[in-house]
Amino acid sequence: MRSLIALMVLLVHPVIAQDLYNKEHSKAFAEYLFKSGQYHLAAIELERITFNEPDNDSLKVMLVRAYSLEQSFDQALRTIQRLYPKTEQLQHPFASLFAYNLIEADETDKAMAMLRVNSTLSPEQKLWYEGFAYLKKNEFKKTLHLFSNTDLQNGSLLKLKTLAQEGAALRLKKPWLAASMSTLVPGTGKLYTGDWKDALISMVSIGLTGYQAYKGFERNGVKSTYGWIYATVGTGFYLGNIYGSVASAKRRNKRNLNRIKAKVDDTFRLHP
Amino acid sequence: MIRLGCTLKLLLLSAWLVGQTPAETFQFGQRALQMQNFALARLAFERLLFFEQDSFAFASASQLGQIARAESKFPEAITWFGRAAILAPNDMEKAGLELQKAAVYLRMNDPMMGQALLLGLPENLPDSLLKYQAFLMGVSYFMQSDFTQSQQAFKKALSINDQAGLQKLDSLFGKLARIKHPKPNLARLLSIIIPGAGQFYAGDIKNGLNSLLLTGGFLTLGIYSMLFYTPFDAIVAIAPWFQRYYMGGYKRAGMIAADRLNQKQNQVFMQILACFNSSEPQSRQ
Amino acid sequence: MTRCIILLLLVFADFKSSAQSEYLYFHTSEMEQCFRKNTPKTKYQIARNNTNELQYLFSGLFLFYKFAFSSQDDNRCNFHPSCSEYGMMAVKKKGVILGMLATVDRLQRCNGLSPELYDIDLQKKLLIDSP
Repeated sequence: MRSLIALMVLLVHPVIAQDLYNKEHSKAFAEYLFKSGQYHLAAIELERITFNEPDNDSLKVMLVRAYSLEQSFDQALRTIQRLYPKTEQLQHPFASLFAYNLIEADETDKAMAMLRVNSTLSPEQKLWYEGFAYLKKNEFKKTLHLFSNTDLQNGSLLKLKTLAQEGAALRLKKPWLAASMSTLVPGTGKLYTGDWKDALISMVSIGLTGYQAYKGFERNGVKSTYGWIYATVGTGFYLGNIYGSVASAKRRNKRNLNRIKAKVDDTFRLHP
Repeated sequence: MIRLGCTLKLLLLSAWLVGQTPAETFQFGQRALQMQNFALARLAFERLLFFEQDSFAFASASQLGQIARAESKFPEAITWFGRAAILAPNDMEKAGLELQKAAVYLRMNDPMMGQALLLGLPENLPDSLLKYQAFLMGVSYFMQSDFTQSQQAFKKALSINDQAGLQKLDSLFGKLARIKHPKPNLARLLSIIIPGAGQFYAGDIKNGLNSLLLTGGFLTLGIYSMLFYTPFDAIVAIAPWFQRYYMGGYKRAGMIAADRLNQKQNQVFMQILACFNSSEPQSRQ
Repeated sequence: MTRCIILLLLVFADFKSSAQSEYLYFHTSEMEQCFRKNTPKTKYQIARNNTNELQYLFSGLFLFYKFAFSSQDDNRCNFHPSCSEYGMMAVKKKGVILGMLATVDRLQRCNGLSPELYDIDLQKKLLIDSP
């Protein structure tokens, strides 16, 4: 009997040796998943490892990064709060990650409050996140104001400053001006915002319908059905064009701002 | 005896506690795939693939392909099958993966690409793979409406002893050859001559009436405005609408006829597939 | 002793991959999807879940247009969602007056002259523009 047991222990041994779920294997696998961009799977794996190994900070950082790279910023914030319930005393990597995720989750006020209270982040780091928060909200002048008091040595902060300058230099279209121009002369509002082809189409369609309505009324007076039909359509086009000029200005502004937003997002995705 | 039982239980428990083996991980992944829990299955197979546990690397890659296929992520599935083909232990497994790839291409509605893969397979394959190849070949020919080639390929996929199946296949393809109407081009032509006629020919009364009324309506409106106002008004205000619905009408007539024809052929296709539902290629020796 | 044997079996059981068995069967159910080239019928979710009478009215107009007119023409609109769908969405989102204005503006923009202003839906080959 004993020999049988011994035999079986021998047999079971290779099975034990091949455990894919032990610490080393799991860590290596999680790292692979993270580096190959499978952030969702990496997060599942890392949650398990950090549960078994609560003292390893680099793994926790990787977990939080996985969540924020997966765009689930709320989950990242919850994870940090679970790991370190006292958010005022957060240490270096987690403090900056917390600020970054707060800003990405559109909780700018909370992020600002957190940056004011926190004592572990360096002034430069705080500047970086404050600048990020303002840039995210397209408040370029505030960002420039933020950087105006200090002379910048840090290369990455300088990059933020150039982005802010680029944003401040944008000449945004004024929706009210587009609307009033279109009210006076149909189509000119869109000409002002730069959509000249749409402006041309609007001009022609409003002009033609207006002319047809005029012709109808001239021929049969106020009773002209023909006139009323074209008058209704023309008025619709006219009012729609005013609305469209405002929308066009907003769309153009959004497009220009998005170009800078993409640059800002890229900068921060690389250096959170 | 009691002592032995206790020891055995402890031993089992310890083996269970120590952790999962590659084989267990593989089985776990397969079960997760069966339960359609794709994230879990992916995690298990990705893990096996990462550690390249002898034969499991190949099997995991092909399973990952199956996951992507089940999730309808076809390009990803093809990539995985390609990776598995590199890891494949022998030519037969490689051919099997090519077959899987071809099936995925067919599923992506790309019969040409699927056929290219199928024709590139070696000839000395085991019978089951040859039959599966012939079956996919039949499907791809069918998708390209080449019914005679399709018939030959499907015949190859059935076993020679299955006389009843072969006869049924022949009769089904005979049925297919008799389906000729509605012809899309004829429907178009009819609708060009009289709006709605093509739809009536294809058997779509609702759309035929709709087209007839719509184009007729715009035509009367055009004539009305020409008589009571000016021809200029008719041309500027009504003619574009008439043209839109007249042209749309005959294009739609062609589409409706093509759809009807497809539908009829589809029904026969389903019956042909049903011939293979019960039978399976003989398992390999 | 039986337990012993079971354990031995467990240890020695062949856990070899069953990926090989995948192609022992014709996947007929999968191939059934292959020949469905028919134009799919669209269901207009936008016309559902109306909250007031005006929305019911506009949904009715929209569905009538789709049923009687839109079903008879080529796909003429340059945008996704199409102008009529845009109108329905705009009325629901912005209210009747602003929604109608937005729709009229959209009709004027639906000229296909300025594709550079919009994102492109590569599958549908249409410009993307939602209210």
